[in-house]
Amino acid sequence: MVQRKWASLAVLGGILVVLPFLMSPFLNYLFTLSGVYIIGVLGLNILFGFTGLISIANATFLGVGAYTAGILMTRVAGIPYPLVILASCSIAALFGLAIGLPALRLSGHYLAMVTMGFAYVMGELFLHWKSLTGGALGIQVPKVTLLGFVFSGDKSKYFLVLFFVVLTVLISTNILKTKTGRAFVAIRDHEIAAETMGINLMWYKTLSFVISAFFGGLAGALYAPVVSFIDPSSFDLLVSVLLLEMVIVGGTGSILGSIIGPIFLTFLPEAVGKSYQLYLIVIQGMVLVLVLIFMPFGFSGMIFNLYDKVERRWLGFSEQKIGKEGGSL
Amino acid sequence: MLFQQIVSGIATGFIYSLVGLALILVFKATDTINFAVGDMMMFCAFMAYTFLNILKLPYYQVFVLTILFSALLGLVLERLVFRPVMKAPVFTVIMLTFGLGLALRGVAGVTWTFDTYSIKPAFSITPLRFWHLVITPLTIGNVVICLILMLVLFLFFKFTVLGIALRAAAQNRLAAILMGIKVGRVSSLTWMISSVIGGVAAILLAPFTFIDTNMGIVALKAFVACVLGGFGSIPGCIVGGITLGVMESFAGYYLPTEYKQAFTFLVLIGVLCIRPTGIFGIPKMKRV
Repeated sequence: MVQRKWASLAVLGGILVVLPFLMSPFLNYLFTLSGVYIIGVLGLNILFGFTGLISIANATFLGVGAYTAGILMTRVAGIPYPLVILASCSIAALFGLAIGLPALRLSGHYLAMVTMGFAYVMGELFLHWKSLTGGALGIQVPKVTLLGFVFSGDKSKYFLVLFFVVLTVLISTNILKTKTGRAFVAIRDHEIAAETMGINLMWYKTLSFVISAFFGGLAGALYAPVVSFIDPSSFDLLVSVLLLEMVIVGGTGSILGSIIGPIFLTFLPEAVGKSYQLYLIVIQGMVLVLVLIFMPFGFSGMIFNLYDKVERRWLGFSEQKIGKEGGSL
Repeated sequence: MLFQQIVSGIATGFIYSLVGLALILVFKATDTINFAVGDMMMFCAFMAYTFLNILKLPYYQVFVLTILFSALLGLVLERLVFRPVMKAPVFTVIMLTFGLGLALRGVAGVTWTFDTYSIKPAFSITPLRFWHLVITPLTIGNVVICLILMLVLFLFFKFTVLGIALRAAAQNRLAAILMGIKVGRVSSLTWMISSVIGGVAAILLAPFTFIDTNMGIVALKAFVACVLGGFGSIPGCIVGGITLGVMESFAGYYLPTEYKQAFTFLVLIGVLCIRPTGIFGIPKMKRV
């Protein structure tokens, strides 16, 4: 079993390394962009899928990260990129803390509203604080330079993002295996029961927000150089809803889902085609509605179910991979 | 000047309360917050535009047709989208309303393009002077229509059998079912009423905000109004709407215009952090 796991990981790694050399620059760009969203969606999934707290402000965390990166890279000459990433993540995490603390008193609908209010206020700030953010004109972000190497081509950007995606996936799977991750799931499944069992709700809910914002900030810090242009509309309410849609379409509370969802929704506009862009928003909305009604566990839930069925038929036994509330992986 | 600000604030506030009512009704009856309420309004406003400017119908016919259309819209959405997920968790339904909002915005954009349209107001906009106060008949008309609608709703819920059934279903679903109330039908009716209120609000609002696919943004303010008054309370929603209208009117006067919108949401965050139950709300106890 263990050998099979390592073998499949090696194959996957090989595919990911070879992939950019086989594809057109545009496809590479799309995969890179999906990678950026994967990082943000992983953060959101930890908050929404595992801790059960809704946030309609995660695009704002991305925005905070991206603006921090954009401003640092344009204003501070020769700032090392790791420092930029660190700054983006920490500032976004601070915002996560600021929104997480009041959110402790709220749940369900109210939390949705307060995060929405926060997203809206930050959106206005991005738009109107012209001296810092450039207003509606946005910021042109320069290329990333690391130890003399310039990340300018599509392939180098791909590998830059791939590195962080792998890192974030590893970090999230590990967080979820620890006491912290189990506390998150306990809070999601039954808050009062969790508190009775001695889980400090305040600590873990805030932590969940901070982790989510931290990943959002990282995604933002990568978004800025990958797209090389940021403006307020890249991080507005619609994008927050799209991030949530990525979580749901991929599978709420599933790491695999957080990888499938962003890829699916980043490629959707291209699959729809140039001449039907008008219908894009209808399709995005319909996808969300249909997935929620007919596929409540998203694509990953479907894959696990299928895998389960195949395993049962061929091997005569099965290991229940996904529970009623969505499995852990 | 102060008085003028208050009056214009109240006039806007009434429309916020109306949209707020559309929200609260659905919330009370089905425990769902309809984040698509603004987009449903936008859709009705576009219909009103079509009836008025393209089909050139007289105003009263436009009014009636828009109301009929909005009732139909509410019915169809409830049956097709919300009935299947009646028992789903809160988040599912919230996301569903978001998805629906996106889809409606898209359909409207495809049908009527993403341009901005204006419609002729129902009442004259030549200002009247009362002492120091300047008011347009349009403002007065809007407030009067809002008041009439609120009164009708109040009477409906208080005295008609249907209204009482609605309230019963909202209070205790299971008990209502046991009493022979058809809860599914009640849910349809609530969505229809809510959609009609939204439709009326859309017609009243259209001359001020103009009609485009982003018109639904006004619903965000209705949320704030509801939270301010205490989510789930009908008098709270009306008081909250008016309070918000007046506050905004002052904010627009004293603050730079760019930050007027942000101010509304700072109020929201402030209220939710300090007193989440709002003015009229009662803290909700959770049973284990």
